[in-house]
Amino acid sequence: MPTSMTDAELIRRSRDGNDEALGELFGRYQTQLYGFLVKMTRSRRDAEDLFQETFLRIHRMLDGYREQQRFKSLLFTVASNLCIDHARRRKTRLAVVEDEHEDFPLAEIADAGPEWKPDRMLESSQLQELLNEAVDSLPDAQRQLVLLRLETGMTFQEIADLRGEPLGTVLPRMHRAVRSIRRYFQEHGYETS
Amino acid sequence: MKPPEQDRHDSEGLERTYAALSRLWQRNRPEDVPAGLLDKVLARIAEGGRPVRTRRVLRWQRNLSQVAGIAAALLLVATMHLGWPGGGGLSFDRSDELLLVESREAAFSEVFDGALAGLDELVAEDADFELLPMDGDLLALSLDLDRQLEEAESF
Repeated sequence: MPTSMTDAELIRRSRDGNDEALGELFGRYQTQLYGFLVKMTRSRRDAEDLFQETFLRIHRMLDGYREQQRFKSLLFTVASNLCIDHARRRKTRLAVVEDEHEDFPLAEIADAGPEWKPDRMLESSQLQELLNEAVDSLPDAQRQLVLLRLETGMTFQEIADLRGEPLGTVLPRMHRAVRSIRRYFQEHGYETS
Repeated sequence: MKPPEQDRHDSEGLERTYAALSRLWQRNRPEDVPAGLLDKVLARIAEGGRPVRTRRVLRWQRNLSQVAGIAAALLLVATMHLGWPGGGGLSFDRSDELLLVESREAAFSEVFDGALAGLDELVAEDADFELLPMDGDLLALSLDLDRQLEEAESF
């Protein structure tokens, strides 16, 4: 199976019953999806369940797939929704979105002098570990947004579309998450400016 | 309300910050997808895309099965005691069989284990049989259900 085919082409072939195309399509995203689910659920066992459920749901949706839609966005939309359901079942508060301080000045980072460049601060695995801890310490709603960005590379606009919210609503939340991460670094003795 | 240029400026600053975080994040070793996990999904799809049975679903199903199993056993006991309306035979379809088989996995009381074992045998043999009204205490009937079923079968 050639790997140069676009997602849309693989989907077309999958719809025609080509199992190899479906395997190729899912194979492209399996590592990203599994990594996202492990981070979101903090459980490899739960991630395995949701991994299967995500792909099965996606398969059922392929007939209605619109080619202008980005497959990756669709995949992580389904995965995110399953994570929310999963968290609700566990009675956690993933679905609770922090709506306070919606007018938080986004310009803070841009206007605060040199932008924050955490990757240039220290060359150590400790720093990387600290980032993992910082992300893990975020409230679930923020953590989901940050993981969508860091694990999948989705744009802010794609994340906003995924959540069905305006970009202007998502950006302040992304910013608050950065602020929390930054604070976590500072609390652990790292200079962040 | 901020001017659009300010929004763009803010968004770009945030974009750069996340790009920096991403570079750091990418140093994480990717999670290894368990061997065979994707194949399992593809196999399920090939089988007709049946919904995956997660542990939670199985637990829920088992609970439901227990309730259904108890109800089925009580129905049988009551039927044996009171007689089947119209004197017709009992038959079980596939879903009943599945429920009963799964119910057997649960830690039932001896009474219902016995009842389900008897039902299971009947289902396995796809038997239709008539149950006659029987005298005696309901509990006694249920405690000796296997024997009762054999008698009913041989009738």
